[in-house]
Amino acid sequence: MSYSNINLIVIGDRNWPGTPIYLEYLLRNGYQVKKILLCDFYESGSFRNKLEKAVHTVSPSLYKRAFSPCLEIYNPLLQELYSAFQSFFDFEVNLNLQEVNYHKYSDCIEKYKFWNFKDPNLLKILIKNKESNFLYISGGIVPKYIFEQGIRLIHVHPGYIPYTRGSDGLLWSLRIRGKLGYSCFFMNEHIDGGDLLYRHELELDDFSKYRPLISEHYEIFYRALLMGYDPHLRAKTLINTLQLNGGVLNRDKVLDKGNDEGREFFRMHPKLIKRTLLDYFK
Amino acid sequence: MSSLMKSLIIDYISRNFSIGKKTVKLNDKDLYTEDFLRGLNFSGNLSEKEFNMFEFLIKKIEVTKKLHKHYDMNTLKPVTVAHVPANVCAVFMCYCMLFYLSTQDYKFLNTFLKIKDGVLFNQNFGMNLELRIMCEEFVLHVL
Repeated sequence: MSYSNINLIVIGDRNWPGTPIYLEYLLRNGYQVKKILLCDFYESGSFRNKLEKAVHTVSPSLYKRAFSPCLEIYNPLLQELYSAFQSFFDFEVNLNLQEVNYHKYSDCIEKYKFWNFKDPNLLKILIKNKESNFLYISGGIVPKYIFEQGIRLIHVHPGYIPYTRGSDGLLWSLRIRGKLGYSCFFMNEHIDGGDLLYRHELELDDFSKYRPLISEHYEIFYRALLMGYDPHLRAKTLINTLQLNGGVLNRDKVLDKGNDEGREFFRMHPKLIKRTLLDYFK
Repeated sequence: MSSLMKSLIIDYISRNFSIGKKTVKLNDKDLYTEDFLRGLNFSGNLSEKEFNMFEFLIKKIEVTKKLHKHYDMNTLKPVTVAHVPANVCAVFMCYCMLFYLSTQDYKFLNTFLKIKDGVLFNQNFGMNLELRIMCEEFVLHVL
């Protein structure tokens, strides 16, 4: 298969399955990215989660002795659901992310450790490569000064912009519009603002056989959706965007969002998460 | 059940907050939180301006976990560092319940749940027993 090189640098979180999932879709659709910045973002997650990750990195055996293991790779139900939810798609990415071979996705891979997007070392790297577009996958809040430097970050949000902006987009989309929505855009300093490249809405797959798990295990169910289902749909949205634009993403091709600013939604309360899963995943 | 629930909430607000008794003229420059809430009517039918201002306050609470007394609507920032008193936090939560019942807008329900569970508002606004019971009844009713 021949690949077309695209002017895209992936800022990939090494601990998030979305990174290999995006890259696999790009590869399978004939796109080779210019570079992968493979990053460890220290700040993501709670303090407990960070501590566990740190201990696990140093010594998995110590981690197993010291903690009641709750990192994703030690939760059997999460592992099974993560795998099951990926069965809706053409391929599955193993949860053991440290074993992913990134060299098949790009000739240029650089590994970094950053605190978050405010890390000055990250800014230096972005400025150095600013003639390229960057794919933002995760890593927390992006400070305004990054955009002021003319750095172009592309992001796929699980919501039909502008109507469902903000956190927990997958569930808010279902709750507010009755279907899933995904949008690809150039980020700016506003929450899910910026120039829109592509958006679409789609029906949810048939989750009926997993529904009995929701009442007791809704947190794990949702986590598995975010890790094993949502990243596939985000990556497909990016592919659609690239295909529509002949592999070239620039601001000449933005869509008109209209005057409606839509609404911004915030992190969903656990009780509402459970209710929403029960209402729509059937 | 919804209308009974609404009546309970309205009754609670009326007894604890002299609401609707003051005509508040909204302007585009300032938002005085307490006055704004006092000026809202109980029907749940908000004007577009009121709706936008209420959403603005929801955003402020969700992001900062605080509700200030006075906001500048041009900069969208608080004018003073002073927070609203505890009874205003309680009334704001009651309005979230009321507007959810009127509009079925889950954004109101979401903010209500977070305030009730202490996720929002750094200051403990000390819900009294009557309010706690009403909130739990509301949750049982809507979820």
